Order: sequence, then C-alpha cells, then structure tokens
Amino acid sequence: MSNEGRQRNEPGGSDVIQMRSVSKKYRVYYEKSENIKYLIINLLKGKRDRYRDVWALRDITLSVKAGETLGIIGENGSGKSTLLKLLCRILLADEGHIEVNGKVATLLELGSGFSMELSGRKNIFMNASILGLSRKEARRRLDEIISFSELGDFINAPIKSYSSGMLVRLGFAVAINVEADIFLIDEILAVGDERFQRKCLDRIRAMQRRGKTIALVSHNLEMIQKFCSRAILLSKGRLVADGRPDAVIDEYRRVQRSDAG
Amino acid sequence: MKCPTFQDLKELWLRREVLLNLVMRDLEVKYKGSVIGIFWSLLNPLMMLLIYTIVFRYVIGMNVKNFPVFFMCGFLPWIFLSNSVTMAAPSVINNPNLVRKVYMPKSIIPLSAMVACLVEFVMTLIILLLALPFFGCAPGYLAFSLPLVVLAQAIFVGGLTLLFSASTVHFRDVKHLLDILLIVWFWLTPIVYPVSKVASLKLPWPPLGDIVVWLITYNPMSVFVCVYRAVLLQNAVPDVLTIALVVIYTLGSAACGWLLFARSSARFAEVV
Ligand SMILES: Nc1ncnc2c1ncn2[C@@H]1O[C@H](COP(=O)(O)OP(=O)(O)OP(=O)(O)O)[C@@H](O)[C@H]1O
Ligand SMILES: [Mg+2]
Repeated sequence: MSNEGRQRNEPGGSDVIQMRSVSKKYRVYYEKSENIKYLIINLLKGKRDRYRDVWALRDITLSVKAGETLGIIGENGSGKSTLLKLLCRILLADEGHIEVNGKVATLLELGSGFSMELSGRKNIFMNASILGLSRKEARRRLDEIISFSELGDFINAPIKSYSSGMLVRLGFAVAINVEADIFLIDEILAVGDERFQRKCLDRIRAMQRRGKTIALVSHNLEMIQKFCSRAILLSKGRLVADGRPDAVIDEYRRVQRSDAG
Repeated sequence: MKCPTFQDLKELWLRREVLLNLVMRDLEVKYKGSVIGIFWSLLNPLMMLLIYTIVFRYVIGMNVKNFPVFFMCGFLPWIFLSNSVTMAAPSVINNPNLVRKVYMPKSIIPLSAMVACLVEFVMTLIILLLALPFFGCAPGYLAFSLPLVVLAQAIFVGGLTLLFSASTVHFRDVKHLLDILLIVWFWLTPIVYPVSKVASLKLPWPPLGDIVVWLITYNPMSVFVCVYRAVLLQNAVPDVLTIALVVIYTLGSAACGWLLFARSSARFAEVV
C-alpha cells in the first residue's frame, strides 16, 4: 500500500518524513498501583498490576516528500493523533524507524502554556517559545501576530477576560507565525467564526506556496479534498489507503457505509 | 556514539527560553508585576524568626548569639529547597498540555519551578546581605564566593526537583510523603539551633542518638547551611570535609535526578 503511494508522488522533492514499519502501543491499566500505599499493599498481597497493550498504530510505512500536503483521515481512535505525536517526538515508537528532516512545528493544540492571569501580549511570547519561535523572532512578528488576532486593545488585557473565540484567535495567530519546514496540524482549523477560518485557510495556502510540508488531521473531508495533495486513511491503527484525496475519501466513505450497514 | 545525556542537556540549553518564560510566568502571576511582591517572600521568614525567637529564647531558654542572622542564614536556603521541591513535585502532572501536546524537554517543567524559587531566594539573600551590618556582622570578602554556593545548592535542589516530579507522575501520593520528609528534614538540620548543641545528644537508646547526631551533622542541607554561615557570618573558609561533601551531594543529586528523570520521562506523554 505504501509503495502505491510512493509511485504516485511527483518526482523531484526529497523525502522529509520517513516511517518504516512503525508500531506504537499504549499500555492501558485496569488495575494500577497509582500510589505508594497501594504499591506496598499489593506487593504484600502478591498482586500484580493488570494491563492490556493496545496497538494504536501497526506497521505504518509512509514517506512524505517536501512540499506535499498530506491529509490524514480515519474514524475516532484510529491513530491519527498518535501518528502526528510520533512524528514530532512527543511519543516514542515501539517498533520501526522514523526519520524527519527539517524543523517541525507541532500544532496539536492552540495556546499551550497560556496563563489566564497574564495579558495577551505576554502570552504570545510564552506560547511562541513553546512552539519553537525565539523571543527575538516573536518580537519581530509581534505586530503581525497582534493584527492577525484582531484583538485590538484587548491584547493588553488578561486573557481571562477573553471569549473562547478570542482565545482561539490569539492561539492561532501565534501558531500560524511559527517558522518551520514541516507543520503537523491536528484538528485546530475547525475553530473560530467563518471569516476567521477563511483567513486561517488562506495562511495555509500561503504556506503551501512557500513549499512547506504539511500533515493535516481533520474530520472535515471537504477541507482535506480541497487542500491536500495526498491523503491517507487509517483504520484501527493500520494504513489502509494512500493516494489522491478524492480516492481515499471515497474509500473512507465506503468503509463507513459498510460498517454502518 | 551519541551520548543521550549530553544530547538532552544540549536540547535543554537550546530551549532555555521556554524555561525562562515559564519562570517569568510563575513570578508574574505571583507578584502581578509589583516589586513589593518580594515583601511576601520576606514575610514568612520574618514571622518564623519571631516565633522561633519567642519559643527558643523565652520558652525553652536557649540562647544563641545573634539569633536573627544565625537563623536567616539557615532558613532562607531551607525555604529555597522546600518551596522548590513542593512546587516542582506536582509540576509535571499539573501541566499535562506541556507534556502531551507539545514537544520539549520535559525537565524544563520542574526546573522552571526551581528557578522561580531561586530568583526569590537570591532576592531575599541580597536583602539579608544588606541587613547584616546592622546586626554587627558585616560580610567579609568571602561573601564574593556566595554565588558559587548558591549555584551548588541550586544544582542540588534541581536534582531533587527532577527526582520528586518524576516519582509523582507514577505515584500520586508522593506529595504526602514529601510533606513528612520536609518536616523531619527541617528539624534534622541545624537551622533554629546550633550544631554544637547536639554534639553530646543523649537519647534513651544510644544508637538512635548516634544516628540522629550523624544526620544533623552530615545531611546535605546541614552541610549547605554550615557553608552559608561560614561564608556570611564568620568570613571563614569551610573545612575540606565540608567542601568535599558539598561537591559530592551536589553532583550526586544532579546525576540521580537527571538519570531517573530521563529514564521515566520518555513515557510521560502516555501516562500523564
Ligand atoms: N494516553 C493513552 N493511553 C492509552 N491509550 C491511548 C492513549 N492515547 C490514545 N490511546 C488509544 O490509542 C488509539 C488511537 O488514539 P488517537 O488519539 O491517535 O486517535 P485519533 O485517530 O486521533 O482519534 P480522534 O479522531 O478521536 O482524535 C485509541 O484507541 C486510543 O484509545
Ligand atoms: Mg485525535
């Protein structure tokens, strides 16, 4: 399946992401000594922790070329977020080999490190450094970040006075200004009002034009169709389809229908 | 071959801005940008000074020469340790988003708690230095070695914060043990009493007395307090054994904390 995908890529770009037979399991505990007291009691009783290993990803082989926009689709719990987290090293693979060449921006969540008590302006610097934007660069882009967020004077007020949409705007304004070669985006585009969403999508288009590599997880199939040059379908941790977005989306719909019926 | 510890240290250094931002966030939230905020960091030691003076001097009748400065030289470093460890221990589980949703060296989280306490400690220490002359013990030239002592203690405390924050991820009740440990440790450190008072400690069961005396003399905090007093109050170079112990404790704590944290933090994103 992965070979198919590779053949379809336009020649020229070099692989920036390579995964070879990658598997990832989570250990789910039914009974765990969560504290020392129980650990001692269980040791005395001779009880062991009980757990089950859940394979969230199984034998994934995938390579992404520079400049590609890869859409990742699949039902809930199919392993999409896990895949992104492996690529940005939040998680370590249990099997297989992963190679990522280039600076990675991880946009799994908006507003990491935000502190409600502090002003929007201060939170910009906090969030930017966490996403990998240096203070110097953040300062250089500050005006752009603030104007993108459209927060006006609110930028100097503590963010606990923001509406949830305003928080999202602030988070997005920072995220979109992070400088990187590879962007890993998980669901964060489905936020904000319609006009703001369009503005964000314009930014993604601009990134594409500048030749950035993007991996995009979304349940919004229309968006995948419109934005991605390629898509993959995950099902129960396995890569079941890889190719042109419309073909992969059709496959996804077909699988879902047969599941439902 | 790449050395993982070296790689981790390098990465920590590259992401130092995140650490500094977290420190500033902590301090700013606490003080809301007002310099007067440091007043609160001083209030606690001053109240303690008052209480211990009343109890030890007037209730128990123990008389220590120049008690206020004697006490502060031990108590301020102690506050640094105890605040750092209590704040850092739950820091990883209290910041799940920094663990699960972004990639950065996880050690930044507990270490930033330590550095925030360090900033407060240094400020209170400066105030103590300014106050010393009024108590008839103007600091001598050895006070210039103070930054080195503070640095050693910060590394020692940093190791502990790594140790306790990593164990709190796996065992949520470490907090309770820590509270008890800190009380016991406080009283086993010559902060409110001079170490000379325990040289001839007689307990109903002599071996226990020996152990207690040994702990009071050689536990890491005692050694640090001893160095602070030597440098600040006596303007004397600590003896070789004390300096050797400082080095051993500092490196030992840093190595244990770092290695344990590195081992267990690889899976934090799955368990936090
Ligand atoms: N920390 C964890 N501990 C145990 N199991 C986990 C953990 N995180 C995820 N899983 C399991 O791994 C599988 C894949 O999860 P993942 O979050 O990657 O799904 P997803 O495709 O992103 O789903 P969604 O569309 O709902 O976001 C699921 O079965 C989930 O239960
Ligand atoms: Mg997900």
